[in-house]
Amino acid sequence: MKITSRQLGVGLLVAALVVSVLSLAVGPAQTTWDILWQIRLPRVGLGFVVGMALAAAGVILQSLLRNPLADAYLLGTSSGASLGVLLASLLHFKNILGIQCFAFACALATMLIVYRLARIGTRIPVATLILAGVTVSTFINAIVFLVFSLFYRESFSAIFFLLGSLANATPGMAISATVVIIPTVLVACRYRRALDVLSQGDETAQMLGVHPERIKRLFFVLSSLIVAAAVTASGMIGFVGLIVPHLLRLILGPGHRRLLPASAITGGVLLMAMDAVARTAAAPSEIPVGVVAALFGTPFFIYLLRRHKGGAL
Amino acid sequence: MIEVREISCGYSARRVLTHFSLDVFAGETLALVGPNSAGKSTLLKTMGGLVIPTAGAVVVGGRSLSTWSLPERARTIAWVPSEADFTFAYSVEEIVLLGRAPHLPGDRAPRLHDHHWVKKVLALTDLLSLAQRSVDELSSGEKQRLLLARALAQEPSVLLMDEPTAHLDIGHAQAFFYALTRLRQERALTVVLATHDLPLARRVSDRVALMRRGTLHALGTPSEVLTDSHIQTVFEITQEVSP
Amino acid sequence: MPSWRYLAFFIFLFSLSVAPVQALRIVSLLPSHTEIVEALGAGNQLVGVTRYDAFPEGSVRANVGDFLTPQWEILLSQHPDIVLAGDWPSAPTVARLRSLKIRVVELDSPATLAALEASIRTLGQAIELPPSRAEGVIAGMRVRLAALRQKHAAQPPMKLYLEIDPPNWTIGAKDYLNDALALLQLTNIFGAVPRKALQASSESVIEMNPDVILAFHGTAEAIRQRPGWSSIRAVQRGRIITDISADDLVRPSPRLVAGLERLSARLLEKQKP
Repeated sequence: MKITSRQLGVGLLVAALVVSVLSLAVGPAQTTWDILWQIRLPRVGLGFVVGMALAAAGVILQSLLRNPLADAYLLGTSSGASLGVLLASLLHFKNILGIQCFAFACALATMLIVYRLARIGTRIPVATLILAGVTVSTFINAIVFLVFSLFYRESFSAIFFLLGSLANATPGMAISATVVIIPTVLVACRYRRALDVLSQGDETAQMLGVHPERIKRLFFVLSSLIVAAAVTASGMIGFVGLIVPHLLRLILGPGHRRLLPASAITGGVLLMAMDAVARTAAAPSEIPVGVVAALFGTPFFIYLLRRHKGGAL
Repeated sequence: MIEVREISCGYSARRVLTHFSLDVFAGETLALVGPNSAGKSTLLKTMGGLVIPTAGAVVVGGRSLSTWSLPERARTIAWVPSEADFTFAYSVEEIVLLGRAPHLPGDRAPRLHDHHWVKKVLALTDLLSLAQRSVDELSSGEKQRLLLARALAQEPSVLLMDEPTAHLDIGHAQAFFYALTRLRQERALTVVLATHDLPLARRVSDRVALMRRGTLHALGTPSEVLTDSHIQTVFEITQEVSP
Repeated sequence: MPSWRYLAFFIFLFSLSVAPVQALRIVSLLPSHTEIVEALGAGNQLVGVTRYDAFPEGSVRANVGDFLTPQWEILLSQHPDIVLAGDWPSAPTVARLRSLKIRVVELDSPATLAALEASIRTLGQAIELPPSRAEGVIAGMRVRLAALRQKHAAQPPMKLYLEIDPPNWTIGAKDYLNDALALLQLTNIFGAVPRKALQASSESVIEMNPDVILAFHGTAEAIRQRPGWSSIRAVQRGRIITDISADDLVRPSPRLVAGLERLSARLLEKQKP
């Protein structure tokens, strides 16, 4: 199915508007102005921005690492953010914004560590980047569990958070996440052609006028920033960062000109919709939003895969 | 057009080129021929700026290559590798369009001129009918022509080709020659190609540079250079060069 | 003015001073708090309780989730005047409640029985009940606890291994249960560890050789079969108690007393010759 860029743009815009309005109207309690303003609006807003971040990071990393299994959490920034949240818990941070900033700083520190580890001379070979990311991730996750087992009671609330949920979204969180994520995604979109060029190989990229190391560095930093912002606000929500890029690649093809912006918006819309289901379907219980996304998204994804009959990712 | 002046390249353990000099004239097709360790690839990469020589300089169009920015280089010099790895299932047209990247700064969308040029290049390399096909579905010969098309989309004045027919069978190699020959008829291009393929070198080039262990063994027209005695010395075998 | 008007005026003033204050709308985020409120006789003021609490017929309580993951929409829509919370360090819940301008009471998890009594008093005061209510509950508890102490005074002291959660999650020194168990002549083998909770190693349990094992999950059979545990005195003497509900003992509320009474009965059974 061939979709023109105009159709795509309009379609996504309409979807975003419709889903956000519906999400605001839906929930386990009666919609009053108070509920809307204090609870739903921050939650839906955060959902959009986090979904956008995860999907965009997924596209970037799958491209950068030339690996279709890459998701937003591969390069270690997310584990740094998790450790940050945990440590903030232990250090008795009371201020929500304080916790977010601290965790964000930890995530950035992790990013620097991975970068240093992956660098060989002036180059960052993709293979070492993946290795460094996975190694650092694993190590930090081990620390997280160590802390959890030694300081069980103090870290309990943090672990819950890390399972991934938009339930505790406050206006402050939504705003701070937006302030980091939207500009970063816009910058990524501005340089999205470089991702296409880079996918042709480092040498070819250079001969096409794109400095491979600079672009790798740029996108590494951009993706780390948006993942850090997303994880510090809502924990680790799975599925979106891995599947949305694939989904859109199947429909739109691999060209980043459309893939990146479309994935970003689709990720946001999807997460808003899934979160609305997550908080309403089994009310008053909440289903983890990543679970809802996987349950609904996977069958649709399988359907799409079969329609393409082995058409390449 | 390209002047290679006294360049030295190599790794700490091994010197590939030492005090190597060579001039490439504008509009000519020069073949770099020689055995595997001769340094053809390295020389080619140095001309393109992919390898920085430890000594000496490469001057292109009167200016030292090191003073050119990457996009500037990409608008003048294009590179055709011997093998393609497209990573994702782009369409043929999308790949060729990537060749326009040096002319499209930042986020600028391709304009009419860009699309027009892409169509032209596809026609030149006989890929027009495959324009919407996914690269996964191409034969190796078609892929090689695609690499050529991508390079041509850059509107270069210089084309550097590293073993373009290395992975092609005779049929595909022939098709590649054909495209290259048509090309030379259409545009004034300076072409430098590193190759093993002696018949290709003979057929396509104006001059041949025969290299051996990082030095220039012979330089001249194909008939001057590709003689039995030269070939035997350089390749260290007995071989008949069939015309 | 006619005299009856004066009378009416005075009656009016008088009724103002004794009119009942509008009852506080209470939301409890911990089941133990819910139980304390109910014990204090203010159960009908609860407009929100946790998902682990009971929802009797005709009550107006809504399920607000729990302390760590509250259902914010439902909580807000119940318009609470006060929320009873725990003191889990830096859980975002309390901060959020305060930013929503809702009054919160954070009650520490008590480390001793005295602290538990204090928390009942604090809670009673927070929900604006007269102090006599809290004192009444505490007095009732003390009476029953004293009876238990009496019953077990003649028993030999025994070492207890208390398993809250498998594998090997137990309590340390900073838990009121130590005090409570002492009434039954039971000593927690990990009662010297200066923490609230810990995960002990099997080896330490075996080394400590408890006389009684109290486990909230799992069967006595499964415990018997744990490698190396057959050497433990409690296992050999068959003193493994698994049929007491965790909720009866682990919640710092008046319900603790009933739990202790059940435990006492089990213990005395197992000690019959």
